[in-house]
Amino acid sequence: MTNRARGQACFLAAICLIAFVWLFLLPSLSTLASIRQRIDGNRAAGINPTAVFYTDHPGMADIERSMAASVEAPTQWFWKPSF
Amino acid sequence: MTSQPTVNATDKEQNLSVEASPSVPWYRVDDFLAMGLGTLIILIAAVTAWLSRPVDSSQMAKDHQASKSILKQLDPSADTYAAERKDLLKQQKDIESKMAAMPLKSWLVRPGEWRDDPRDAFFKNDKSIAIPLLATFLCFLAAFAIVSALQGRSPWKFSAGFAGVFGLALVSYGLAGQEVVKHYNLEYALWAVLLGLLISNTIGTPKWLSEATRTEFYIKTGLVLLGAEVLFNKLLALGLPGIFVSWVVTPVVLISTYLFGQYVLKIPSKSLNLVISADMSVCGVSAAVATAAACRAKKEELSLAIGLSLIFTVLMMVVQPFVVRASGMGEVIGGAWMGGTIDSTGAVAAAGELVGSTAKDVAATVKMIQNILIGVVAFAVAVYWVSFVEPRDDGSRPSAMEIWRRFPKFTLGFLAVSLVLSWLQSQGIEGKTWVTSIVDGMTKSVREWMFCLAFVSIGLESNFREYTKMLASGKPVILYVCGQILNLCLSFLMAWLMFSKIFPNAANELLSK
Repeated sequence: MTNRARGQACFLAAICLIAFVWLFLLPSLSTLASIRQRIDGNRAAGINPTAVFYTDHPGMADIERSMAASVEAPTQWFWKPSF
Repeated sequence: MTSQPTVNATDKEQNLSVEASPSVPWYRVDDFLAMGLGTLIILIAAVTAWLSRPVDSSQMAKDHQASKSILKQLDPSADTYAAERKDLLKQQKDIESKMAAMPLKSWLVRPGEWRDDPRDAFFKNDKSIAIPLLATFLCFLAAFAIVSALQGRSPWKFSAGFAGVFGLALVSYGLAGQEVVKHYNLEYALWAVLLGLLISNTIGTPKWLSEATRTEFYIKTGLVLLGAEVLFNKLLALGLPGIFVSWVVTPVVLISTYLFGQYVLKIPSKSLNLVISADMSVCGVSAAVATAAACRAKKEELSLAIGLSLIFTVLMMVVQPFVVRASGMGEVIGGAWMGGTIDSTGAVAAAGELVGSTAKDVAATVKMIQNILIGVVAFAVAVYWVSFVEPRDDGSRPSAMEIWRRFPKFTLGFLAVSLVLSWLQSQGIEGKTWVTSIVDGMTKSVREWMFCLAFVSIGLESNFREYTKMLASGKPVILYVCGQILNLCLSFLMAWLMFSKIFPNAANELLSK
């Protein structure tokens, strides 16, 4: 078998593997109770686990608003040390 | 002028940065073109957002200010405090949503989530995204074809290759969009690199496709756009405790890990050492990309660092919430600990949610503050690299002019965009919502596409043998693990010190809301 033919065979094998994993294996895994619970939990909390940067996280604006209300409160707990 | 101008001596060495040369006009250099394109995209976003703002935005701004004033005057000890606070925050959210116009958002799309039928990825709210995807492709194609023509390359050859690279990026998004893959944080970056590698190491990257593997350019344009998201005002989002956890621990871990790699592990490549140290200590993929571009790391070094980060992120987002709950360290300290150590924002939020709502909020906020550090890290790395690491031919320290010539200029664009938008963000609610329109409405999506195209290009230009060479000694993994252990220890110590000893009332305030 030439290098070229070997490369093409590897490529085809990898494509078949990807198709098997993504079209059969992963959809089956997503029905497992523990995985389903994780996915549904993230969805309910509005979390995008693949968010790379803070701006990719859909709930970040709500978190910032809520944090700002605490940090900017007249009590100044976030600025005055309590030694 | 030759038809294949600048581009460049360093390309042959597969480095990420492209240097200007005295014989090449500035408008052909990647750095300046990336800055120009990035700035143009931001300007288009800014103008369309400004023209689409609601007519009564001044009144809305007054209502928003009034709502904030009432919130500040609420008595935290009152029984109705929690409900009133919630109502006022909702009111502010509604106003901000109305003020932040995003007319182009629905035209800049990417495949979404799916479970068992990949075609579902091409529907959003039951509507097909085929037309917006085509529009996204055509806009990118037009912009990059013009850049290619400016650099003396054939725009037609580029267009054919770009269709292939864009198609592979679409497949990467599709693979990352399967819900199990998505909810275990295996991001598009991983699949984009692997798909490219699969092609380049089996059938070989066809010449027509390699015409569009412009890794450096995609990364630099993406980083200039990322500058719009590096808003320095966010530094104060968690008061002084947030600054200490994010901005004191992180640089200490970054520098210590780099020194450990240099002097203890003696990693042969300084750039690999620095990229792994930065992606582990700052914030994963985005920090790795910014640092790699600033220190001219090899493509394989960047993708290896990202691979390590993604693998450890999956482990940490599963293990750390259990440690927090089992140890009883509490939601605030646990949240700050996870936010300071887990690499990506999505994983941080998912891990925080497993502990509790307050842990999630604290973790995501600490990570956000850490994200802002990217701007400073990228700039500092670029200065350090050209001043101290890259030697002159005779081994002496380079002059100021030499440093300027070598300096990766796009980092200046990145920093300038960051400073301008930080200033805009500080101009009341109108400035803040304008920045939201620019970022959420346009630049964020384009930045994401740029990075995905870059990762596909990296894979298409890389060789498996380079990875096996780098991993043979096991040093990159040892570096990541040792650095992360230090990060885990110092972040916990700082979070405990801040929220338990120095600012305990701040922790109580977060728990009571």
